[in-house]
Amino acid sequence: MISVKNIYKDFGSLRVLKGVSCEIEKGEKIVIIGPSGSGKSTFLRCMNLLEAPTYGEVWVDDDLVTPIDPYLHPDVIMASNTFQKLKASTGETDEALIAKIKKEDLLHEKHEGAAYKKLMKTLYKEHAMDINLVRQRIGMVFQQFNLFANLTVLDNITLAPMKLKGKSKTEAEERAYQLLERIGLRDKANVYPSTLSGGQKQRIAIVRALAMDPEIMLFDEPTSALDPEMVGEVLDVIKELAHSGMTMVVVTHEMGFAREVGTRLLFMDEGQILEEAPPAAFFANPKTDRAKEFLSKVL
Amino acid sequence: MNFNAKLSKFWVSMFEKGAYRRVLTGLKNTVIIAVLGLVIGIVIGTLIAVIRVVPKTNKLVKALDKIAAVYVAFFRGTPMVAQLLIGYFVLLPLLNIKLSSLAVCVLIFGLNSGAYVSEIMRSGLLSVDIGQTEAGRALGLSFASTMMRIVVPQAVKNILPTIGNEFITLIKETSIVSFVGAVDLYSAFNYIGSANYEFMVPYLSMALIYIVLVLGISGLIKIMERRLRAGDKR
Repeated sequence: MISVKNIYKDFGSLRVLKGVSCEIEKGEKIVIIGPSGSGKSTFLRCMNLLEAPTYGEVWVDDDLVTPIDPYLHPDVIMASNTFQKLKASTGETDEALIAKIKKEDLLHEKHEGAAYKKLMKTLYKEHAMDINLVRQRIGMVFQQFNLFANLTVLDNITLAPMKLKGKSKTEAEERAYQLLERIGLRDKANVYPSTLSGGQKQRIAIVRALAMDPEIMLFDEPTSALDPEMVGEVLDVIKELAHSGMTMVVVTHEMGFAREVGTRLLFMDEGQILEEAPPAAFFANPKTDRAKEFLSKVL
Repeated sequence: MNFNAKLSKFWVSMFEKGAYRRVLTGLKNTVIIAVLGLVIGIVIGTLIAVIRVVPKTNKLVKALDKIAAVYVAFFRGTPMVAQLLIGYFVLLPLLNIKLSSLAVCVLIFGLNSGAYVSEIMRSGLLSVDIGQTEAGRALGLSFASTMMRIVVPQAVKNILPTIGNEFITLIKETSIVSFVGAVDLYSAFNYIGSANYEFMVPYLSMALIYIVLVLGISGLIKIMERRLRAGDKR
C-alpha cells in the first residue's frame, strides 16, 4: 500500500534518516517506537511527503510521489555515462559495477548523457502522481491536533470532502454528524476548537481525517500532547478503528497500546530501523542492545 | 480680526457661497481614495506576502519573489508624493493613458499600501502555526486552498489592528492628492482660506473632520476585533 525505498532525509547538515525502507500492506497496523530524535516522526511524515526525502523513493500503491532515485533502478544506472565508461575501462560484471556506483555515489545528474536523462524522464512520467491526489487517500493525525482554529468542528470535518470529493454540503454534514456520533461528540458540531479539551480535539482530528475515507491512517504520536486522563479516550478511538480493519502506521510512546494493536513493530534509532518484529516477540525478546536498553528505560 | 469675525467669514463662504459642496466632494474623495486604496493594498499585499513566505522551490516563485522585493523596496523607499507625481505627470503621458486624477490617486494609494500591507500580512502569515498548513496539506488541499481557507483568515485576525493603522495612515495621507489636482478635504478647506485670506477656522475645521474620521474608524476596528475574537473564547 505504501512502500518506502531506501530514504534519506537531511535537515541542513544533519542526517535524520539514513536509508530506511518499509513495505506496508493493506490491513497492517504498524507501530513505530524508539527514543526521541530517532527519526520516527520524520519517517512517518515522509510517507505523505510532508517532509520530502533527500534521497530514495516513496510509492503509494503504484503511484510515485517523490522524484526518481536513479540508484534504485539498475536500468537507469546502466544507461549512465559513468557506467559505460567504467565498463569499458574495467571490464567488471554489470552487477559489480552497479554495486560499486551505488556504494560510492558516482552518478552526477548533469554528466550522465541523453539516454540516462530520457530514461529518468520516462520513468517519472509513467509513475509520478500529483501529491494532492495521493494525500486524499492517506489520513494523518498530528501530535498537536492541528484542528483549523478559524472553523467550527463541523466545518473542520466537511471542508476537505466538499472541496476535494465534490460532496454536497448536506452529504458532507450528514457524514460528519455520523462520525461525531461515533465518538460521542455530536453536540460539539458547532463550537470552535479552542473550547474543546485535548482529548476531544484529537478525537475530532481523527474523525476529520476519516471523513475523507482514507485507505490508510498515519498517527504521529497522537497521545503525546494529552493530559494523562485523556489518553485513554483517544486510544480507544484508534483501537476501534484498528479493529474495523483500517490500515495504519502509528508512531507512539504507548507501549501497551503498541503491543495490543500492532501487527508489526519497527524499532528505530539514529535514523535507521534497528528491529522489525511482531510486537509480542519484540517486547519478550528484543535482539539489539539498543532496544534492550530502550525497553529497560520505558517499561 | 477677532475669532467671531473669522467664524462668520468662514460661515458665509461655507454655506452662503456654497463652498460646502467642495468640502463634501473632498470628503467623498478622501474616503474613496483611502477605502479603495486599502482594498487594492490588501489584495496586492496578501499576494506578495504569500509569494514571500512560500518555500522557494521553483524558478517561477524565485522570480516572483525578486519582483516583489523590488516592488516593496520602491514603494516603501520613496515618498507617496513622489509616486503620485511620477504616476500622474510621467507615466500617464508616457504610456498615453487617459485617467482622471482621482483614479490615479486610487491606484497609487493602492500600490503604495500594497507594499506596506505585504509586510504586515507576512508577519501575520508567519504568526499562524505551521501545523495549520500541514493539516490542510495532509488532507489533500492544495497550497492555494490551504492559504485561502485556513491560513489567511487566521492571519487577518491577528493583524487587524495593524491594518486599521494602515487605513488611518491612508486617510491622512490623502491630503497630498491636491498635488495632482484632485479635490480632497485639504484642498477644499484651503480654497476657502485662500478666498478670505483667513486660514485659522478652515484649517481647524479640516483637522476636526480628520480626527472625527479617524476616531470613527478606530471604533469600527474595535467592534470588528471583538466579533472575530468570538471564535477563540476559552
